[in-house]
Amino acid sequence: MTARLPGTWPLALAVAGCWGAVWLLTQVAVDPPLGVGGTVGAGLCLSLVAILGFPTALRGPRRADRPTRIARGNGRRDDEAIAVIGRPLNYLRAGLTADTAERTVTLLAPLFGGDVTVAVADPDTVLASVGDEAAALGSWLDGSASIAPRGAVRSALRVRGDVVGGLAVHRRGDPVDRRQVDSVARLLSLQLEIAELDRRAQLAADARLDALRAQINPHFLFNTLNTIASKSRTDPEEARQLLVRLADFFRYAIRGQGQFAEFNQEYFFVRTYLALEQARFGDRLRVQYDIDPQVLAVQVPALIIQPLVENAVKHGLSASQNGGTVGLRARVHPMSRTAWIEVRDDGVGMDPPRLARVLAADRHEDSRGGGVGLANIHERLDALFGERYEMNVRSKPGRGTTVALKVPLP
Amino acid sequence: MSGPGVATGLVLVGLLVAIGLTARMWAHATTADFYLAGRSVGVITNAFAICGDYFSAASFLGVAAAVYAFGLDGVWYATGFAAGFIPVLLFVAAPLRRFGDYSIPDFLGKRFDDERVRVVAVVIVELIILAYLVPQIVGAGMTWQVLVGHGIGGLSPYATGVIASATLTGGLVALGGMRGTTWTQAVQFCFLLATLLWLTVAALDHGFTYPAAVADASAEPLVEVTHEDGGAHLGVVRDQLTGGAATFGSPGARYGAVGAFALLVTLVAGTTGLPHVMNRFFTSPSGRAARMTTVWVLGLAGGFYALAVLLGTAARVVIPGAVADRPWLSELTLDGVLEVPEHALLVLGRLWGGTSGLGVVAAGALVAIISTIGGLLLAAAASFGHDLYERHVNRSASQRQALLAAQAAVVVATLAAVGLAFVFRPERVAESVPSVVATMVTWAFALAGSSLTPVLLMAIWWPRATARGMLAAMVTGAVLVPVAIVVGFARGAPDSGLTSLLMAPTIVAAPVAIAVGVVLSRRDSPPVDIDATWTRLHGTAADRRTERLARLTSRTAR
Repeated sequence: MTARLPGTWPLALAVAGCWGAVWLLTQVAVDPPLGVGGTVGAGLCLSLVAILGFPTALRGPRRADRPTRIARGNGRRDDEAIAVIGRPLNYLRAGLTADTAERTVTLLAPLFGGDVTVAVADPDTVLASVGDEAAALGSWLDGSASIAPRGAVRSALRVRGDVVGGLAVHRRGDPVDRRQVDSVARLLSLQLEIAELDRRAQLAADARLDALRAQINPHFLFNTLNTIASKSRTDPEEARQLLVRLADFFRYAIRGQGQFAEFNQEYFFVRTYLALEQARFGDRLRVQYDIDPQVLAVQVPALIIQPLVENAVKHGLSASQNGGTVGLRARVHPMSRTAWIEVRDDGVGMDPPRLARVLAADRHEDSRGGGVGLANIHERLDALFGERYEMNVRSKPGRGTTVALKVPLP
Repeated sequence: MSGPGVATGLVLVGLLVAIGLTARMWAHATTADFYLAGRSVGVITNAFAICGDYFSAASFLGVAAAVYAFGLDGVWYATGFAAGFIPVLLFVAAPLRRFGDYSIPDFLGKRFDDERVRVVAVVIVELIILAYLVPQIVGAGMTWQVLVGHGIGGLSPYATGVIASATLTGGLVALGGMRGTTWTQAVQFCFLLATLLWLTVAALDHGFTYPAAVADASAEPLVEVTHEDGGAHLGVVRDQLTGGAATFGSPGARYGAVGAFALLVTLVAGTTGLPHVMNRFFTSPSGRAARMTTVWVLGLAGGFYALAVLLGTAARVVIPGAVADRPWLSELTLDGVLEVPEHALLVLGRLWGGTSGLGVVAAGALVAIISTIGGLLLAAAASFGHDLYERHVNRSASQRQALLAAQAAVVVATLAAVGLAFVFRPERVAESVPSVVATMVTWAFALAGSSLTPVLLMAIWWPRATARGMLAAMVTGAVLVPVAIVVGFARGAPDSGLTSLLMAPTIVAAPVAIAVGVVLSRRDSPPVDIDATWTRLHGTAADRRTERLARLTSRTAR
């Protein structure tokens, strides 16, 4: 078998590097050089470690979701087809387009072997085809010709039962086994279904963000208008400035589109929020910022930090007699390329059962005051990053709550 | 050899680390705010941090050493290192920030929408970082030689310094104890600057004036310690321009006309391609802030190198008169001339401040080395972990796996640098490359300036550039430079224009790389959808928006 093992070259380089290092350390660095036996022994040990440890380092720990055989068939090439299909057929995960169809047919043709023609169509038109009989097969597939080329087989691509396209295969001389085409079509359908799920998840995440925006705006408006109302008698000039600021603030900060925003914009948002709250709470609310300028330009999920700060003020401090301090800390961790954001308060805190309830709560229960629940934030981060983020909540009754967030830089 | 010196040095290094780890609260808050509000305090802090990353052993020890050894020809190093920020200011800083990414491979990969460009850029970035790491570690070994004077566990003093500094920094970085935060790097640069200022004040206090010192040093031909015929003896430095004896105050002690020009171009072009320095430009809040930061860096670098030049000159005139009644100095010198020029600043520190003074200067050197090594290792780890591992080796890597990969990259880079530091031991290569630290840094600059700089310039300013052209340009530069240096190294002492050209090859390699890039790009079909990219690179609307927001919030927050 001539299959190329992935990572052969890196491994060769790693082993060569080991011997180079051994040579440098035993022959060049020390005076007099180490004997032959010791040198070779050290080199062998290192190489052995490299070779044994390499697959794990390269691939990461083994996981359960390796591609499994889905289709059963007695086609000669089924084994090979399935083996190759696991990886490249995820082209269709981006949806059924001319480009992905093109890549898919190019890949499929050699799997069927022989003098083969493969075509993929959506309900309206042929998206891509490869092979000599492309024209005849295509017109049969899109319905403009009703007569099939001899020996051609077609199979529908379905997403949740609806036909979204078709796959047609024709092999000259030795017709293709129908079951084989069907199994390939089922695999492609599976990819398309996943694509559809991805799209829905994206839509859901967008909808959630829109909901968040709608949820936050009135809250801010309400607070600021109250402040302005109280200032309008005592200090009309400041009230006027507040109004101008409010207008600008909405124009710039809330207008932001998409799931991500630069940290500095989120930071403005938080600052404005806290300034308004400070006007209300006075000395009871103290604020500490600890921001490394490096983090300012980083893209972070929009509208995540402000809700955390809002929770700190609302649930942590407003209930406590003497008020307290809210802290926002942000760093870039350059090695793991993550942004570390920490929001903490020294307010009333929560005991473990309450913390568990808050984390599990749905949005209705936890958003009594117009805030956004931790569970809600959790959900959004899940949708955005999957497994690639961390959110830790530490809380102790009477000692306050700390929410630490690590999100990957884009 | 000097207990108090070691103690002072270690205490100072420890103090700086402690400051870096603890002092942050007010500093960060205010810095970020000032920065956002477009006020100069934030810009200056970032400029200090960039200097902390940039000024390395080569700047702190190497420039003074080069001036000490070659007089005016050593000043080219100072000029080149400082002037390197001019192309950054004019051509790169603002557009790079506006495009908004996190590293050079990221930028190139997205600009050309091509993964091959990204992968090749990562490989070149790692090579540059390695080439820059080695002289830092060599410098650490040499500092240990003077500061402590003896090795630990049967190793030579040099080997001890190399292994200790590499293990310390590599370990700190790998374990996450060193994150190169803006504040830490800025404090470290403050310390370097303070050390140089103290030495300068001490020099002036001892009746030093620059014009008189130059005249004094130029009165007799320039001499250096050579190791021919088995024993060390003094030899007169030959003037590369006239063939006669070189003097301190006139050019020619090291480079001929071609060599001096080649060196300057190499250093000026190289800075733009240094990954650990350029990474900081991506973190400015706006393109304009990035540019203002560069202006400040230029000013700081100019001042810093002026002091270094001054002190190199001071060492030349002060040391011969000081040998007589100081046995420790006569160990390091031969008839009043230092055997290793890099020791110049350290000797000055001990002359004027006793062993504590030596400790302060050594701490300065170690801080310069540690902060630069830290920045380099972080850049190496980030590029490998993010651009290569997460995107090409293990696409579904968890954060833990990515971090492990980055840590592995740190360990490998450290080990490789240590190995190379033993290969390029100063006493082994001093024959062909005197002033070894500065020379080796030049090689890193040559590699950066011939591969990444041309590609960055074309990517930013030439809409017609294509992925294939840029790939070829990068590879051309990255292959030409090592080949040229190896050939130059093999030719021995740089007494001809050709050899010095080979040792600083950017002046040839960069134009070749650009030519290759242009020819191949022209043969490709023009890139489509370039307008959106161009707006992102050169449009200023986002800058104005950020500044507007900043003004709003700083008023809100009072």
